[in-house]
Amino acid sequence: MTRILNANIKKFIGAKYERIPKTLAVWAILLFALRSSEIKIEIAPIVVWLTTIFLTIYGFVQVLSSDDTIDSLRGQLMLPENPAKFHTAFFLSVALYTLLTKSGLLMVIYFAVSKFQLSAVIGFVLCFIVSGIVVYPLTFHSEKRGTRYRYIKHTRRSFTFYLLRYLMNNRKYIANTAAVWAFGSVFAVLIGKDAPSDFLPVGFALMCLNTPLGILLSSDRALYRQIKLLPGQTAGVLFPYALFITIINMIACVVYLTVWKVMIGSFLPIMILFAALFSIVSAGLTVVLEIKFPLLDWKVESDLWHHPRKYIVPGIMVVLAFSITF
Amino acid sequence: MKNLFTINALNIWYRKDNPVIKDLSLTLSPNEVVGLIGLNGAGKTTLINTLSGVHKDYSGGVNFTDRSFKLTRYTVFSEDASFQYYAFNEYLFHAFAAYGKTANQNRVDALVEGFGFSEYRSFLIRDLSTGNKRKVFLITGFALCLPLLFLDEPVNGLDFQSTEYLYSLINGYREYGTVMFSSHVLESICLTADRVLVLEKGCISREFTRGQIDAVRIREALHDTDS
Repeated sequence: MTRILNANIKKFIGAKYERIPKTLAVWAILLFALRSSEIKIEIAPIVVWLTTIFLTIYGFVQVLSSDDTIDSLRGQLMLPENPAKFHTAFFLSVALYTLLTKSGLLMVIYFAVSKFQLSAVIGFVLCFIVSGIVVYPLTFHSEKRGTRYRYIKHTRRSFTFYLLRYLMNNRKYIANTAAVWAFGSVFAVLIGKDAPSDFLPVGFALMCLNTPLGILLSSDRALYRQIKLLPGQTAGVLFPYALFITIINMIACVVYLTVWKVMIGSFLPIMILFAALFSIVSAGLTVVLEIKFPLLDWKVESDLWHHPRKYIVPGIMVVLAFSITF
Repeated sequence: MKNLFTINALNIWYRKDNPVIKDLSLTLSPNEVVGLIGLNGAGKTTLINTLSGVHKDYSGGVNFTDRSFKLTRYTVFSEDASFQYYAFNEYLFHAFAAYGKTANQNRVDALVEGFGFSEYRSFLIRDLSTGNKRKVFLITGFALCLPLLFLDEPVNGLDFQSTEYLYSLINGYREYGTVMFSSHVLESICLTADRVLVLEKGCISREFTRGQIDAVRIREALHDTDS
C-alpha cells in the first residue's frame, strides 16, 4: 500500500513532495499576517463544519473528475493490485492533496482570527474524514464518459462560439461562473449597507475574477500549441477570447448593479461606464497573461485553479477601483 | 534548384547546459519528401516542434515564429487534442481562415473520402476516436497545400486503409510542396521518402538518398546508432 500511496502522492504533491513545504510556508505567512493585523471574528463551530464539508467535497470532486486523474488511473488499475489496498492508498493521496490545497486553509484562517474552541477542531477533522469517505465512492471513476456523438451542422463558427460551447460542456465552469454572480449579489448587499455608491468599482474588480475562463489556454496545452502553430491567431482566437471574457464580465457586473439598484438604491450613471471599462480591461489583461505567461507545467489540472497568478488581474483591478474611489 | 529552407548551427534545448539538438544543419528542397528517423529520445519531435514555432528555446539565427514563415507551413503533431469543441468542418474553416485561404472543396471531399472520414466530419472533435482525431489534422494539412508540411509520426493510430492512403498522399504532395515527416515505421519511409535523415544524439549522423533507401540499410544505421 505504501508503494501505491507514494506513487500517487508524488503525482499530486510533486516528485520530491515539494508542495508540502511550499504550502506550510504559505500557511505560516498567512497565519502570521492575520495574527499581526489583529483581525478578530467570532466563527461559530457549525460554520467551520459546514465550510469543511463544502470544501472537502469540492476538492475531491475536482480531483476525481479531472480527465488528467482518470488518465493516470488506467495504468494503475491494469496492474493486479489488491482493490482494498489500492483504494485506501488512492483515497489517502486525494485526501492529503485536498487538505493541503483546500480544507487546511480554513483551519489556518480559523486559528488566526477566531477564538479557539476544541469542538470546532474536532468537528473539522470528523467532517473532513466523513465527507471524504462519502464522496470518494460516489465520484471515483476510471473511465471517461462514453462517446456521445454530437452533430454540428455549422461549417464555420467564430472562436467566441467555440468558447460558449466549451463553457456549456463543463458543468464546473458554469457553477464557478454562477458562484461569481452569486458572490456579487451578496457583496452588493453587504457593502451597500455601509458604503456610498463610490465603492461600486471595488465590486466590479471582484466580479471580473473568473478562474476557469482565465486559464483556458493554460489548461488546454494542445490548444495553446495550435495557437502558436497557426498564423493570424490574434484575430482568430485572442480577440474573440477577450470578447468572450468581456461579455461574461459585463453580465457579472450587470447582476451586481441590478442587485445594488434593487436592494440599496440608485447609483451614478457613470458607474455603467466604469463597469464596461473594468470588464474590457480585465479581459484584455487576462488574455495577455494567458498568451505571454501561460502556466503549462502543471501536474494536476486543479493546480491551475488555485495558482496565485489568478489574483494578478483582480489585484490590478482592485488598485484601479481604489484609485477611482478615492 | 533554389532551396526551400536552410538552417545552420541550430541548437535546441530544454536545459541550456544539455541541448537536445546540437549544431544541426538542414536544407530542404522544394517538392521533396524527407523522412526523419532516430531512436526514442533522439530529438525528432523536439526538432519538428521547434520548426513549427511551438518550442521556443533554440538558437540558430532563424525565427520560426515569423509570420511570413508561419504562412508557408503546417504541422500535424503526433498527439493533438486541440479545438476539441469544434467539429472537423469548423476546424477546417478556422485553419484556412488563419492562412487566409479558401478551401478547395473537391480536394477536401476527396481527402475525407480517402480517409474514410465522411460520417465523422460534423461531430465534435472531442467525441472522435484517437485515429479519427488524427485524421482531422491530416486532412487539414493535406488540404492546405502549403509549401512545407511537417508530420510527426503520421502513421500512429491509423487503420490499414488510411495508412495506405496516407502513403499515396505523401507521394502525391510533391506536386504542391515538401513533406518532412518523422517515423518509426520503416515501411512508411521506404515507400515515400526521397531522402532519409538519421537523427542521433542531437545531430544528423547519416543521410540516405533515393537509390540508397531500403529497409536493410536503414535498419543497420539504426543498429549502429543503438550501439
